[in-house]
This record gives sequence, C-alpha cells and structure tokens, in this order.
Amino acid sequence: MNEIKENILGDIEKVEPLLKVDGLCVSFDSPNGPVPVVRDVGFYINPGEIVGLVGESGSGKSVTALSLLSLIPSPPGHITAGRSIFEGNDLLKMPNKRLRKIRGNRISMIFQEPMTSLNPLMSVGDQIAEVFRLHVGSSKVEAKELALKMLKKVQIPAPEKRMKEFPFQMSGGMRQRIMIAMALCCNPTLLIADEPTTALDVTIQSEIMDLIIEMRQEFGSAVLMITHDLGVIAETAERIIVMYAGQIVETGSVNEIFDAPAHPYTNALLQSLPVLGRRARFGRQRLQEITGTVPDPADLPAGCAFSNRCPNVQDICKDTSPLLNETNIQRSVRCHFPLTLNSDGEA
Amino acid sequence: MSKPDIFPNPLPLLSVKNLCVNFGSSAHPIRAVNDVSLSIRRGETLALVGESGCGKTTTGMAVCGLQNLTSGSISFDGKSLQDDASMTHAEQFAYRKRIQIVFQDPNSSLNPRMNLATTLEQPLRLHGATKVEAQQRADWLLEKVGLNPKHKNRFPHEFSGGQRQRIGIARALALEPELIICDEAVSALDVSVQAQIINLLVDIQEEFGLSYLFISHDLAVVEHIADRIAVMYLGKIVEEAPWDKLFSNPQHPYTKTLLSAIPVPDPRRVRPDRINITSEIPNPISPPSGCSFHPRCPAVMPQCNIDAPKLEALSDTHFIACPPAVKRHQAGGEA
Repeated sequence: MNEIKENILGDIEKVEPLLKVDGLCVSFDSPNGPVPVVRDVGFYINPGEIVGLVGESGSGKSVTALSLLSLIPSPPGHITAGRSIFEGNDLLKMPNKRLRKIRGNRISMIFQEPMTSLNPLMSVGDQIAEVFRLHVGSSKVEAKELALKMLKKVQIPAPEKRMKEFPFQMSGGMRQRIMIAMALCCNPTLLIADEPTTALDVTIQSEIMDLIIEMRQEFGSAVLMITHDLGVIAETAERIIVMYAGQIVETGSVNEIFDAPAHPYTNALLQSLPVLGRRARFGRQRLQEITGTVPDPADLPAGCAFSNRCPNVQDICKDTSPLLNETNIQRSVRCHFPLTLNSDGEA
Repeated sequence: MSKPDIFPNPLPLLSVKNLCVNFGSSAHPIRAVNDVSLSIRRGETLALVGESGCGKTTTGMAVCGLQNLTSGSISFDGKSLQDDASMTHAEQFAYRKRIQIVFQDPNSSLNPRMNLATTLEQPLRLHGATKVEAQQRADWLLEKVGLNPKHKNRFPHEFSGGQRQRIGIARALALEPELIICDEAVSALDVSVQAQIINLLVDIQEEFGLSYLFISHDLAVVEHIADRIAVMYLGKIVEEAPWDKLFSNPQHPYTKTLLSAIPVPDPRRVRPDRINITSEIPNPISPPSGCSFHPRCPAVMPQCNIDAPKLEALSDTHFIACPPAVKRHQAGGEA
C-alpha cells in the first residue's frame, strides 16, 4: 500500500495537475445545525483533459464546483476544510479581489440554465465585450470586435445581428452558445460546465457537446463536466469521478468505469439505465432497481452512505465508513467490498 | 416479459382524429397541435416523442379533457368525448374517470395542503364510493405502488421525489382507469429512482391491462416501454411505427436525426454518424412553409418547401410524412 501511495505522489509531481482539490468539506447551515453536503472531496484535473463529475441531484457535485471558485453563498454555506490548488495557489484562501481576476479569466464556468445566468437587460454583444473590457483591458471598439469574433467561433448564425439582441430573443441552445462564448473569451485553462446540456433538447444537446469538445481542442482548456447523464459523460469525458451523498465513491478512466465499475453504486446506476438498443437485442428485461432513495445529507446512514441501498451490504458497512482506496493515480473506490477489485486484485 | 396478446376487439380504445389545438388570437394562431391522428388499443403503450414545444403535452392534455380542442375529434371506447349532444353531463363524468394522467413534476401536481388519504380518497368519494370503501381502496392503492399505507396522513412534502411520483401514480389508478396518460412521468426523477417508477408502470399495466399514452423526450426510456411510437415535430406527427421498426429502421429524416443525437452510456460505442442539423427549432408562430422540418433537414429536396407532407403508409403499421423518403423506400433504396 505504501509503495502504491509513493507511486501516486511521484506521478502527481510528474504530471503537475492544473487543479488539485484536497479534502474539501462544505456544509450548509440548517435549523438543526450544519449539514455536511460535501465530505472530504479530493481530485485533480490535468491540463487539457475532460473530467466528468457524475452524481444524482443532491450528491454535492454542483456545490463542489461552486466552492472551488468561492461561489457558494455564505451564509448558509461554509467551506470548512480543504485546499484547491490551481496553478500553484490555493483558491480557497485567496482574497476575493484576486479570485475575481481568476474567475471568468483562467477558470470560467457555464451553468445549466443560460437564461438565469445571462443579464436580461444587456445585449449579448455588450455582455461578451464586458469580459474583454474587464479581464483583457481592451478598448470599447476592440472589445466589440473581439466579441463578434467569439460569436463566430461558437457558430452563431448572423453574428452581427445577434450582437445587438437580448437573451430573451434567443433560443435555449443559442443562449448556451453565448455562455460558452463568454466563458472562452479569455482562453481559460479550466472550464467548469455544470449540467451544460440538461435543459436543452437532444438535438441541441448534441450540438452543444460537440461545440464544447471542439472548443477544448481549439483553446486547450481542461473541462470539468458536471452532469447526471451517463450518456453525456460516456461521449465526452476521459476520466470520471462518481459522487454519492457528498463523497467521491469511485474514480477511473471512462472505460474502466463503464466496463468494470468497482463500486456497487456505480454498478447499480449503470444497470438501472434503460439503454438504447438493449431491448432490440435482449428483449424487454426488467430494469434493475436501486431500492430506496438518496439519503438526506442531514441524516446519513452510519458507516457507508450507500449501505442502506447496497445489494452487497455486510455488517461492517453499516458501522464503518470505507476509505477511498486508490489502486493507481486515477483509479479509486470507496467500498469495503469493491466489485471488480475483489476478484482479480485490480480493475 | 410478453404482454397478453392484443385483443380480439378491433375497435381502438382511444381514437384521436385530426386533432388541432391553437393558442393565441384567431388571427395569428399558434398551431400547437396541427392535424394529429392517433389511436391506442387496449393494453397498448403508444409513446409520443419529440422535442420541447412540439405539441406532445398539449395532445395529452386534449385527450384527458384538460385542453379545449380547436377542431378534430377524440373518441374513447367508441364514444365521442366532445360532442355534448350525444352524451349527457353525467355520462361524460363517468367517461372521464376512465382516462387519468400522471404529470411530470410531482411537486406541482400534488396539492401540498392535502394529505395522502384525502388526495386518494377524494376522487373515489366524488365517484360514489362510501367513506369506508374509499379508505380501503386508498390503502390497497398505496400498497400497489409500493408505499406504506401507514403514511396516509402525511403530506406531499414529507416524501421524496420518487415517492411523490408513486403517489401521483396511485392517484391516477384510484378510479380504475383504462387509459393513463404519462406526461414525462419519469423525466424529473433521479436515475436511480427512474428505474423503480418505470418498472412500476410496466407492472401495473400488466396487472390491470392498462393502456398508456406515454409522452416523453427520452428515447431510451421510450424504447424500453413502448409498443408503438409516434414522433412529433412542430405540432405534427412525422413518423409512426412499432418500436422495433422505429429504432431499427427509421425513415423520416427527423427521426434519424433524433436517434443519432442521443448520447449512449457506452464509451466504446462508435457513434453512428451524428446527423448535424445546423439551425434551431423554428418558431411555431411562423412555421416554415411546406414541410416544417425542411429548413433543418439534411436530405431536403426542392419541393419540400411547397407542399405540406401528409402521413403515408409504408406498411400496415409504419407511417411517415415525407414524400421523398416514401419514394426512396418504394424504390427499395432503403429497405
């Protein structure tokens, strides 16, 4: 184990991750005291890679992302512990003034609902130009030109006309393109995309996914893709982090996670999905259910958070929380009895 | 899981003919549903799929009487639901209970100030059950949908999303309906809960011989649950086929586009060439002339912007509204 640990540390130094999050804990105030919603979350993102953060609603994936940029409202939210090292500096300790220079510049974010994250009273051209004015210090005219260039990059038809339009005049897909354009203005090294396609129709979703991948290639940004949709993750991400009840339960490359999920939760999640084409091949089979529901973060089961729904639960699971066991730098699982690691020693 | 064979009765349970629903002023109507015809047999699941704004929900609302029709007719078990002259008010009331609906969002479709018992017993009482009967039926219903009858006095906020959807289903089942309209009934649920509800819907269908009009945008769920599928685009049905035909051999360019766009949770899958459509869904206030899909269609032909296509039969069960595709099909280019 120690050997492995050393190897991991060695590897990290070699690759030099762009972002390294360590022991992040976030809790929210409630009438009955603080409720932990993110518990000891640690992960890394290498330059230029797409990492998928998957989890159901309430698993803490969005809070994790927002905390990285100190964007959770406080109160009620508090970051109680952890580090988030970005380009050598701890984002969580950074004063707001410096952080503001990083947000939207080195790290930018796109959200699920573009309508609520765009300013409804400002033309989209001005909104994009504002980014250049603020972060690049361009003149008014310059900023306008650059904004127009960005609109062209994200393939908005008739960009000159669209510059003067307001968000309400655009469709959902178009607004998401605007968000992406704004996010990429300053050539960010990290793009955080929080459910970027969830509110969109499937034909538009596929276009936006393609656009994000294309833009990644052009700008070389790393992408943290947050979603609950395993289909979207399978088609975009290279590495996956699975969250459940505020904790990371499994990490691995996209193929590892989909071929040989080690955590019973990941496995159950994959089994419970209706997959296109399965009925044609195998006939209609009953979907595998996960019994019960996601636990309330204020009332987590003792021991493993998944223990009350796990098909393979043993006595130890009910009172001892499993640790996140790392097989190698990118593969880890938080389970006493991991599925694939059990049988042949590695996934 | 094979279904009981479909029924000697050739008469469909639900038959919708030339349904039109317009919104807005009559001078500039938005044709939300434009000449839609469909039918559902007993025990059958017809899925209605399409992107947001295509009119699938409005169609469902019209079928269960929550939306006035502009024109067209809906008949249920051989009787027209519109024609007031042919049916007394009491008769209509009795018919209504045979069609029920499960909504997408259980948070907004359950009365927050009504406990479970009232939610379930009220419709029973309205339709003539005694208090004791209603209570017994409510207990039975809760058990059927996997909830504890002891929780009858709780209010909706005390349940999780999945449980609330079970309540919605129990409420829909209360009056022993023959047709349930599931309007995106599983879309708002978490992945791990979605499977529970889909299985429940399949189970109660088998047990009670229900018919479903299953409205959804999620084609993977639709493939799992549907017998037949109708694809809607801008208020019109563009393709209708049995589920296996639709997925294995889609004919309408829009259906093909839709299928190619679905992300599949299998990283090793080589995605069939994604058919990219460049422009956005047109504004229904001023739909394109001719075929409403032509501005986005990858296989557009010169005549497509002139004539509005009609549904044509490729076989007994497969219909599409795309003359060029019909021609290609007849020429045997794409079997």
